[in-house]
Amino acid sequence: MTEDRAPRVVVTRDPVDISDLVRDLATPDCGAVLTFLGIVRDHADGRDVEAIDYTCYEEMAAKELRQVARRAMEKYQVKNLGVIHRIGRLKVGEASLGLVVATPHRAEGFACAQMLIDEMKKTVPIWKKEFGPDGTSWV
Amino acid sequence: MKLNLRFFGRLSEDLANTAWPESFPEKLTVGELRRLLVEHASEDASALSTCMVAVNTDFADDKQQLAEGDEVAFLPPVSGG
Repeated sequence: MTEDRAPRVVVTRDPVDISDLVRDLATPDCGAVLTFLGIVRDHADGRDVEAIDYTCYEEMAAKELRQVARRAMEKYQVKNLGVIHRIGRLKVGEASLGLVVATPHRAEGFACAQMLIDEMKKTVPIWKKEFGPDGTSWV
Repeated sequence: MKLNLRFFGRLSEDLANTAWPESFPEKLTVGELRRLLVEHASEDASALSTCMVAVNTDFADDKQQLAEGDEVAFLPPVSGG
């Protein structure tokens, strides 16, 4: 019987560091450990970007991210998942999102990670505002 | 009844200058609140008609009845990740 492990979810102002997640989630039954970092890029839709300000509904963001993670884990029978989203002012090159998925085989890990990222962009109450030489823009 | 209104993302800027009512009718649904706020706003609040709404940190539909002290959050399209 698959043990039901809760996703590890953090919304934080601290720099994203997934090393503890990798260490803790890579259990002996997992042959694949997938890691993803979402990084602030220097351009978006033809505009230069210097920084992004991430804000969130603090009382709800981690709760909704946890629910999204649980749905992705359940769909692909994933036991080990951790996700970190950073908020605050981030410069180009800094990570806004860290995700670790550990699975016995890689296929379900890749699919779970893709689903989590796609779904979180629909409902998790986090917003970004881009800052660049041409001004600011809510995304 | 008293409600705690929260506005996020660009709504927090776009509606920064509106003074919202201090109290609301006792029997009010989310949909009715949307209409009331759009009418009351001194700025363009049309986005309140269509954005996601959460009541006490759970997503709500327009039929949901509101209660005294509820926190009602208006959430424009999200952009995390």
